[in-house]
Order: sequence, then C-alpha cells, then structure tokens
Amino acid sequence: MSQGHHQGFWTKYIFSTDHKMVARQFLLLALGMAVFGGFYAFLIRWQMAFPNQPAPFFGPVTPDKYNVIITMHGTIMLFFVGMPLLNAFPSNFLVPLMIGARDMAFPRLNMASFWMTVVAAILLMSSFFVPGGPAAAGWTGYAPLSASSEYTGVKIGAVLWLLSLAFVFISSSLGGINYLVTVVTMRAKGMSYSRIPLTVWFLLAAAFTFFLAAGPVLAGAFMLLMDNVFGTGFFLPFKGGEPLLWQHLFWFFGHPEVYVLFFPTLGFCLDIIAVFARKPIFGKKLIIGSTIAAIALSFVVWAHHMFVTGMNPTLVTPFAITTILISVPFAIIYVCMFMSLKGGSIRLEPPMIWVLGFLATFLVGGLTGIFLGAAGADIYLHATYFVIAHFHYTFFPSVFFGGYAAINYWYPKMFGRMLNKTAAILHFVLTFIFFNCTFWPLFIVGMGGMVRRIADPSFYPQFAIFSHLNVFATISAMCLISSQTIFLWNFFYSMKNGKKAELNPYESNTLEWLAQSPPPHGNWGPKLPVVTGDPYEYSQPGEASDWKSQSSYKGDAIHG
Amino acid sequence: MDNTAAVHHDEYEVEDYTGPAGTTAGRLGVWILISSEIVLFAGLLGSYILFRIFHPEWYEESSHLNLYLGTVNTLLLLTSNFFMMKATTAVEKDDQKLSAKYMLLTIALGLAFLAVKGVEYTLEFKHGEFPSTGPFWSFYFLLTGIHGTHILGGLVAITLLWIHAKNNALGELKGRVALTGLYWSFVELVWIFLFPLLYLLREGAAK
Amino acid sequence: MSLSASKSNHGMVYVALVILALVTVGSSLLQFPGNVGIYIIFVLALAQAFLVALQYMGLKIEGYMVYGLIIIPLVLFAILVFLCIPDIAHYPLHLNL
Repeated sequence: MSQGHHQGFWTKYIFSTDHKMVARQFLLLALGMAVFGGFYAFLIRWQMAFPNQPAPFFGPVTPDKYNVIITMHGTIMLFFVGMPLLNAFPSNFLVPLMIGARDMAFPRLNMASFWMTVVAAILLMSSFFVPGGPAAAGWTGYAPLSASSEYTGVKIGAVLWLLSLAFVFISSSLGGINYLVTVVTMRAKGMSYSRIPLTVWFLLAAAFTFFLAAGPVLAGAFMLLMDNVFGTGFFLPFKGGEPLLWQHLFWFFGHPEVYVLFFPTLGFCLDIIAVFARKPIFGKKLIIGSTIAAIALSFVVWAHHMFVTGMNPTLVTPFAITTILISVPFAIIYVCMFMSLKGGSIRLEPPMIWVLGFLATFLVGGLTGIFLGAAGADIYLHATYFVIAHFHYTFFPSVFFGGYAAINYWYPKMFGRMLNKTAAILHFVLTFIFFNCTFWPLFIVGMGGMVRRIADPSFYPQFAIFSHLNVFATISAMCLISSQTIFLWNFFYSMKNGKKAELNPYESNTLEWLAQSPPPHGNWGPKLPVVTGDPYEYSQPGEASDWKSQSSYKGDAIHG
Repeated sequence: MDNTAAVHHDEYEVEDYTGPAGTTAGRLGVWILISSEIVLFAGLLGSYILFRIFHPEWYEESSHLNLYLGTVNTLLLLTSNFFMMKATTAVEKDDQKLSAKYMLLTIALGLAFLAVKGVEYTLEFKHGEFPSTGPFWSFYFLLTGIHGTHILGGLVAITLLWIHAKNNALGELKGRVALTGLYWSFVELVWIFLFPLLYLLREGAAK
Repeated sequence: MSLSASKSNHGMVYVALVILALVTVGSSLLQFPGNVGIYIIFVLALAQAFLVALQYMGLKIEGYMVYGLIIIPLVLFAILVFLCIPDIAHYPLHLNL
C-alpha cells in the first residue's frame, strides 16, 4: 500500500489513490459534464423562445429530441455536475486536509468511487448511440412512461439510464462511507469534534443523508429495470402495478438529495464568511443543531412533489406541514449567516463576493419554495415554469455560486497559484446579472400558467403572450452560458501562469492552509499538526493579529 | 484493514486512531455499508409489504413456492454463517489453515444455497411462473435475485480471503475475515426476514 | 474488537437458530385463528434476527455510533412503509382481477 515518492504517470494521475488527485479528477469530470449540461440548457431555452427554428450546432429541436434533452439536462446537471462539484471534489480535497489526516481511510475505495462515476458517465453518454436513443422520460423517470418501451420507443436507452443512475448512487454512497470513516477515525491530535470546521460538518451531513436516501431509489431503479427488461409490472397499472410507488421511492430519495446538494454550499459559505468578515461564526451550535433537524425533516417531506398526482388526499396535509416546517432550520442557518456578517470587517475578495451572490439568489429560491410547499398553491403552480424557476434559484446558487466560491477560495491551495482577480469578479458580475435575467422571467411565465415539459410552446396559443419574456430569458441564458467561458479560461490559464500563491493567502485559521500549496503526497511533513484552537478564533479581544491558526504547525519543505 | 496501513511510511508520523474504542476503521466502514444496505432492502421489502397488504390473493400464489427447498436453503445459509464465524475466531487465534478450512465450508454451503435457488427457479419456470406472470412473482424474483446477488458478492470476497488463508498469506488482510463475516451475517439477517415474508405467508396462514 | 469473548457459544447460537428456523416453518403449517399465525412467524423471525445481530455480528460490544447507524435506517424503513400505506395499500387498484 505504501506509495514510493516516484510515481509513474499512471499511478500519479490516472489510477491515483491520493485524495487530492481524486478530487481534481472529480472536478474535471464535473466541469466536462457541465459543458454537456449547459449545451442542453441552451437547447431547451432556444426551443422555448424560437419554437421549431433550427438551433445553432444542433438543428430543429423536435418533440422526441426535446424529451431526451430535458432528461439528459436534469440527469447530467444533478448527478454528474452537482454531486461531483459539491460532494466528491470538496470532500476528497478538504476532509483529510481540514482534520489533519494524510489521506482517506480507504484510499483504494476512494479511487474506485471516482472510476464508478466515470463508468456511469460513459453508460449515460453511450445511450445516445444506441437504437431507440437515450432515455426520454424526464430526469425523474416517472412510471408508467419510463416503465415500458412501448410509450417512448426507448428500450436500451432506458436500461442504460437506470444502470448509470445505479452506478452513481453506489459510487456516491461508497464515497460517503469513506468521508465518514475518515473524519471519525483519522483526526489529528487535539481535533475534537467541536473543533471540526463547519465545511467538514456539512460535507459529512451531505454524505450521511445521501447514503441513507439512496437505498429506496436504488430499489426502485432495480424494479424499473425489471419492468423494462423482464416485462414485470411493478409500475404498470395494467399488470397490477402501482405507478405512484415509483414516485414515492424516487422522491423519498429526491428531496434529501436536493439537501445533499445544498449542505456543502452552506459549509463553504459559513467558512468563507468567517474568513472574509474576520469574525467568528454566529451561533455555531445553533447551525449544527438546525442541520441535524433539517436532515431528520428532509426524510418526511418528499410527497410535496406529488400533491397533484392522484396521491391519497389524507397525505397531502401532513406533507404540506412538514414542508413548511423544514424552512425553519434553514431560516435559522440563514439568520446565523447574516449575523456572522454583521459587524465584521468585510474583505471583498472573489470568494466572499460569490458567497454574497449566493446569499442573495438562494434567498429567492428558498422563499418561493414555500408557495410550492403549501398544497393549495401547489395545485395551481405544480408543473409550471414557476417550479422550474424555483428549483433553478436553489440549484444554481448551490452548485454554481457555492461551487465557484469554493473553487475561488481553495484554488491557491489546490494549484499553488492565484486566480486572476479581475477575471473572477467580471465572471461573477456577468453570471449574477444573466442568471437573474434568465430565471426571474420564468417566475412570471410560470405564474401565468405556462406548463413545463412541453416541447412546442407555439402549439398552445395561450402561451403566445409569454413569447417576449421567453425570448428575453433565452438571450440571457445564452449570455449566462457563454460568460462561463471566462471562468474556464481563468481556471486553466492561472493553473500555470497565475500569481504564485503563498501558503495562507486569505489568513484563514483552518488546518488546510498550513500545508504546502499544492500539498505533497501525505499532506503534512514528517510531523502531523497538533490542533490547539477552534477554527473560528478571529478578532479575539486582546490578540495581536485578527486571526489565530488552529495549529502552530510549520509546513517544512518535504523532499520529493 | 486498520488505517495505520493506509499510508505506511517509515519516516512519517502516522495519525493514531481517533474512532470509538473497540472498533477499527474497517469495521465502522462495513457497519455504514450495512446501514445503507438496510435502507436498500427497506425500499424492496417495504414495497413488497405495501403490495402484500392489499393483495390477499397472494397467499394462494405464495403456496406455489416450494417450502421444502426454501427451508433447506434457510438451514444452508444458517450453517454457512456458522462456519464463517468459526473462520473468524480461527483467524483471531492466528490459525490461518483452520480458518481456510472453515471458509471453504462457508463457500461450499453458499454455493449450495445458490444451486438450490437455481433448482427452484427452473421448477418455477417449468410451472410457467416467470417474473412477468404477476406482481407476486415479480417481487419474488426481484427480492430473491437481489439477495442472491449479495450472496454472490459475499462468496467472491470469501474466496479471495480463502486463497490467501490457504497459503497462510493473509498478512494485512487478517482483519478482513471478521469484516466479511459481518457482511455475511447481514446477508443471513436479510434472509431471516425474506424467507417468512415470501414462503411462510401461505394458504391458511391467515384468514 | 475480537469476538473471542463470545466465541464459545457460536455453537449454541447456531443450534438455537436452527431450532427457531424449524419452529417458524412448523408454526406456519398450523392453523391459527385470524392473523395470529402471522404474528407468531414474525416474532420468531425477530428472535432469530436479534440472535444473529447480537451474537454473530457482535452488536453487543459495539458503541453508540453503530447502534445509531442501525436504528436510523430502520426508522426510515418504518417511515417509508407507514406514510405510503394510505397511497398504495389503501384501495385495490388492480384492474385485471
């Protein structure tokens, strides 16, 4: 198991068990898949604004292609961009560094979970070239549409989609096991549970919630697979099945899954706020308590996705109550974030700007969720563009604002170089403006009654009044997608010729800033750091400087 | 494998184990795997139970199952689990040869379990009972299929350990025998619930 | 960690499990009024499960963390089944009967 200092190309870059290399691999996978996801987003928006006119680089978006595009956009953005960018990449890179460990508890399992995600991506992408085309039943794969090929004409594509989902669930669960065991068993001396930074707490919360939620949907996926392949009738009414069972199993996983995507961003934002406001986090115990409450509640809210699906009405009220209830813990965390900002000496570096952008946009997402949680309003708003605007106002800030905040903040540690600051701020300004310009009109269009998942809006005369809003949203979406190229340029350009980064460019207390940038194999020199302080001791009264690192460890140069 | 072997450098100080006493990293990992498996079988058995509640006619369909073979299978799995426990205690007493013998018995009985399952399946196919014949049979093949796959996975792990133990070459893998035993007991635990749910709710079990 | 503390009674546990298994199968063949038969079968199954979990899996010597890891999924199991009963196990939907 011991890895000598000299590693060949294969063991260093491709089949590496070094948690930092696996982290970079996940990051590149996420960025690569984001290109596909973004392209499909562009096609959807194009079809909404200019129905049936051939889209550039693609041609006309016919209804069957449209179904494939929305399925692939959802699946890729969630499981191949969101999960890697928010769970796998930060957990792999940060967990060992922030708790003072040398590597993950199970390094080979760590590598295996990355390659499983790659296999899942290959399975998904190969479904484009099979007869019948890829899955076209929406990223939620609602039965009976997805349960038999006679409805969508898709046979092999649906099987590949299900196998790809199964692989991603198993790979993320195995990753979660790895992170949990690493934090429980491999903390540095002095790193008690209360001294663990909030980023690690939230990454653990996400991993824990995920592998508990993934079970039932994996069971549902096997059942759906048997429906498609062996002709069983779990979800087909004429074979004695129950389509709602798939929705229950899927959303039992689905809602905790959206919190799994949201928790890491909360962790990043809290840590970044503490560093750039030079102030301890307000109410750290309150935040951890609210997270535990949110995890518990997230398992009993799932049926708010099913208010209008003919579900038994006796279930509607309890789930509406729990859905409104779950906004309380997140409101508490939000207030703690604002109180952490209050009275701080704010340093407007790019990571902080992204976090402020996150706070602004996610607030809109969170509040609009309450309309959808209230069953009465949801009867009208369900399956309209209001829902799409709501979940993009929660996903986009979590995955992209939170993700870009994390990348901007830990980039110096990952690559030893600083990102170009002006490019980062320009990228933020454009993204912030165009994101709001893209999705705000969709609230209005949604309240106006425009239904989602329809391939050709021109078919419905009553949607004609929304055409100018849709055109505006599409143009902003195209600008939004193209403005991401600034980040891609900045990311790859600064890797080689960005400004040389010192060990702790933002004067942060957490442990990872004591290691070298980029940390060598084994992270710490011969001696491990001994943790002496809490991660949030900023501007302590009677202290000379306004920060005190968690450990007095000096990262001496390591040979090799 | 305990975590001190994770990064094994002579000149590096290696972090000590900070987990709960009496458990190693590997054992905690397998327990978490078991907890995610419980949730998976929760989805499967939960759906079956939900269907079973309002499908009273499945009592009659369940009587088509071969109770004799089912009972034999239960006893096979119980015995296989027993031998795996003996293999675990043998490894703790550093007697790898003895533990290899017990592992061989475990593998043999596990394969016997799958063989009996195969016989049952062919009998059912001969009687025209396929996964597509009805929801009960779909669930029967789904539940026993996924449980069987877990048994197959367990058998592969035990065979790998057996190959090492046979040549007295377990070395660092010593801890894994107990972990595989833990997983094997979980697979046995699932069958303890699967068997009554599928086989014993027969005609006359309840009116 | 070692299970040697409880190694001596692996044999006894095995015998108990075999007996319980046979009794469970036997009880399913007898006629009981109403649903009593089902309750007997599942009480016996639970007995076997506890025996395997405590003795073979060494749950007896595990800490609070492992107990949490086992109880939480079981609670989720109960939540999933009970909250879906009104929807799936409520009114017969099968059309082909």
